[in-house]
Amino acid sequence: MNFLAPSYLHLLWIIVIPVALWLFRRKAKRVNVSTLLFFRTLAREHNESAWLRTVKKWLSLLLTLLVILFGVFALARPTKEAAGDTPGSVVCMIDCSASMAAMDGSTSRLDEAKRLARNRVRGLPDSVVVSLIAFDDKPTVLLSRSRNRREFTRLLDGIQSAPIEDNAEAALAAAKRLAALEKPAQIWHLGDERIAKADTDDYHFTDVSLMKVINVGITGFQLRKAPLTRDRYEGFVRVSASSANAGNVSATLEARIAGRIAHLRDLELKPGESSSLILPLEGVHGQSLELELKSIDDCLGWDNALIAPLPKLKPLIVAWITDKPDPFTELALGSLIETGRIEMLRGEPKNWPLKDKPDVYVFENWVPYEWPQDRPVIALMPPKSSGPLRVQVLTTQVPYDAVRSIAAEHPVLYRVNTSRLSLTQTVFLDPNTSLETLWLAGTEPMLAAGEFNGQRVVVTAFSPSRSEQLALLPAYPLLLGNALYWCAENAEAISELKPHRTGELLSASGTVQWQTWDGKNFTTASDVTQGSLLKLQRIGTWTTDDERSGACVLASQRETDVKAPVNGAQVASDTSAAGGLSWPQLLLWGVLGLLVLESFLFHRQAVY
Amino acid sequence: MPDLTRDDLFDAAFLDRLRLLALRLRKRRQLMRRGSQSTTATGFTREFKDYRHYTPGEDYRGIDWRLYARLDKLFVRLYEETQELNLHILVDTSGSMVSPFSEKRKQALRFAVALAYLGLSGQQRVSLYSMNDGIKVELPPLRGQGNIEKIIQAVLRFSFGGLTDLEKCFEDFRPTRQRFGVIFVISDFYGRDVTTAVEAVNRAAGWPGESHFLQVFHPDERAPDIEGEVELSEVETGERRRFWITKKEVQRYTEAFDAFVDNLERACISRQIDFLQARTDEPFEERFLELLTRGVALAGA
Repeated sequence: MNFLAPSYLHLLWIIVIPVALWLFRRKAKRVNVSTLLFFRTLAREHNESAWLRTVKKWLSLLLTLLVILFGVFALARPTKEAAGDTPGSVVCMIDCSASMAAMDGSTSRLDEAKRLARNRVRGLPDSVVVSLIAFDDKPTVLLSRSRNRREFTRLLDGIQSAPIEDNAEAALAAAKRLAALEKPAQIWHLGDERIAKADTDDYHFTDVSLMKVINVGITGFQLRKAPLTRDRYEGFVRVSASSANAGNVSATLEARIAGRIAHLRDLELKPGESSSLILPLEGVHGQSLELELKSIDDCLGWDNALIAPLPKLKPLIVAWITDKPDPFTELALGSLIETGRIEMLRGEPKNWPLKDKPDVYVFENWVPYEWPQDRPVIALMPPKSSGPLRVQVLTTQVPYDAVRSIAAEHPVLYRVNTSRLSLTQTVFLDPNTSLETLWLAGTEPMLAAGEFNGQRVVVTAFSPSRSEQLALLPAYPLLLGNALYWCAENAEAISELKPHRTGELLSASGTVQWQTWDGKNFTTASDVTQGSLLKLQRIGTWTTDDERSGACVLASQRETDVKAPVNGAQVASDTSAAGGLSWPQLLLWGVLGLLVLESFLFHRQAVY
Repeated sequence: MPDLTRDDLFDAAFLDRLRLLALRLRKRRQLMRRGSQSTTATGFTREFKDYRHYTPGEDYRGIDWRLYARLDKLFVRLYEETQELNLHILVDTSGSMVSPFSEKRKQALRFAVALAYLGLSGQQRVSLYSMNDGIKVELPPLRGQGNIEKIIQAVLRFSFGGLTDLEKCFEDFRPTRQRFGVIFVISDFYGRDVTTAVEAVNRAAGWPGESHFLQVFHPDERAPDIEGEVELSEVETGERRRFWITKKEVQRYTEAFDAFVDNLERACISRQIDFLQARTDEPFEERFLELLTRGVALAGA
């Protein structure tokens, strides 16, 4: 047994006091009386034999000494850990991401983590330096290398979970730096998922996962204007079930616009399964879309709802530069113009560089010598290599009857059907570039996409006008439309459509008003920005002082996939001696028990 | 325990005043007629009183042969009978009468001496008994004022100690009918238990004479000045008990003591026994006069 605060052991000298009092105790005064018969009628009489009285005297002294001994030991805080196991410092990492708000009855994972951390730190000797890191997507060092346990507890109690996806690796990196300052050190990670890449022996993970998990949540959301309509939107929603669910979970997705129910969808999801929905929505700018997912016994509320404002759309400005426009390209782009969502600027190579800055450049049969650095580019049949493109114009055009999608999930290929496509290759694309091949015809790349200098690039190697059946299919206009939106995803014109993720920084000043989801209800709130940036820590619609607004969503597959305890992980338990009690607590209970025993044995008949 | 002297017990000035008082019987009519007064009963004195016819079986020595010779009828001579008043004084000499408060012994003996003096002065026969675990005749019946010194010396020789066995003492005390008189019991009446004294009173109900119980006690015996944890030692039995005494306990003790006295007094009254208390801190003269004025036996002033 080791003592966490051995300095208190010097208080053992107090034992001398009862021993001295016992040795020099005042014996009971003996009084001669002639009327003992009347005293006998009094109820409270120490009627006991001499030997029992002697035993009681010794027992009383023994109990008194034990009370003092237990009390001093409780102050000295004994621990059963050997002194050699005690680290020089401890860095405590507390996961406060969204999944830590999962409830087990009335206790959340975060509360359990805080309880365990508090108990374990209380079990450390006073000489051990402790640090405290709370992390969601970013680590925050709340306490750096301190021996002040009270401060640690105060800061620990102040940790709140936020609807933000976690980034445990970043927290571990910070913890390692703190741990390196004082060796030997231990890193205690209290969370619901072990860091797989923790390659240090000092890393100790304590799993605070629930034994039983039921969770479904919204893991994807996107709002866009519906094609060829006015005041109509399409909401893309992905609902996922936690892989730790015991079985299928039924859920109801309720979509409300301006408080009126627009859609009700019933879902039944297997563990780990996701379901994507596209909800047609009708509304005007200024109204809000509320999505709420309802399921029985759902343990995590953060991912069950979101609010998004219906945005006011600005047209996407596209500069189409070509000296030989392909009719099918013209037809496809023209169809997009008609919807009023894309504003087309048409020019020739001689106009390059353009005075007006569009959102996206479309180069057809031409590429500039100097690749644009500030805008995304769609290059259709580039005649020469430039920027990220490594191409060669084929002298003989090669027709292909079939096209294969290499990355069917790529946003550029959304809803683009390749089953009946036949293409004619006019340009050879070098596959050994940074661009990702999306279509292959035979072994030749026909479509590729990627990034160059932070700007997105889409390149095609086929001629629409020479490709059979392409004119009869919607694939090409869809492809161009997807490519335009994918390339312009960060453009200001459509940025309002893209919801922010919690944890991101919002450029704003003054007060930001919120219509927010607190995990249980929709409420209003406000945040005051510090400086010009605000960390988004709420789910809902934000509105800045300058009338900008947007949505902030959790939409995290990682957080919705609430983990259950993993076999082999350290089970959530504290270092208590028995029955959830620490040694000092046990000793204090012992003191109390001894006092009660002493009172019963010696003072139960006393009158005060 | 300080030794008592003659002067402690015999206050000549006070007793001189008592000499003016004579004991008179009050309750029992038979006894009222006795003592130094003449009665209608015949006796064996020299004083002739009357004749009556002889009946067979009578003592023929009482026949007046001269009258037979003259009247030829048998007559018996009757003489005046003068009965004496017997005064029985029973003094409790158990340990509780001297320890822890020796004032009780002094008070009890002063009562005994005063009563004896009063009896001797009234030409009564005074008997002195000591009581502890049994009753013992300390002095045979004495008569005449000159015997007061014997009385004083006898009580000074009393050996106090031992247990109190009131029941046995009262059972053993059986004065003959010739010794009818007034019986004084001077004691604290503490027995083995709080009910012992009452049971003993039942045995005293059959005594031939007028009985007076005088309880002598110390004020601390009613309201002890004890507090805290104490080991109480019974002076008679040596029994020890440990108590935690508080003011509340003292109050309860006093209530128990008063209840004991009430029960004892009620038992005495129900058996026509006079009961009087005498605290050791009270003036002796006042208590003694009160004793005499309770209709016991008042001498004419």
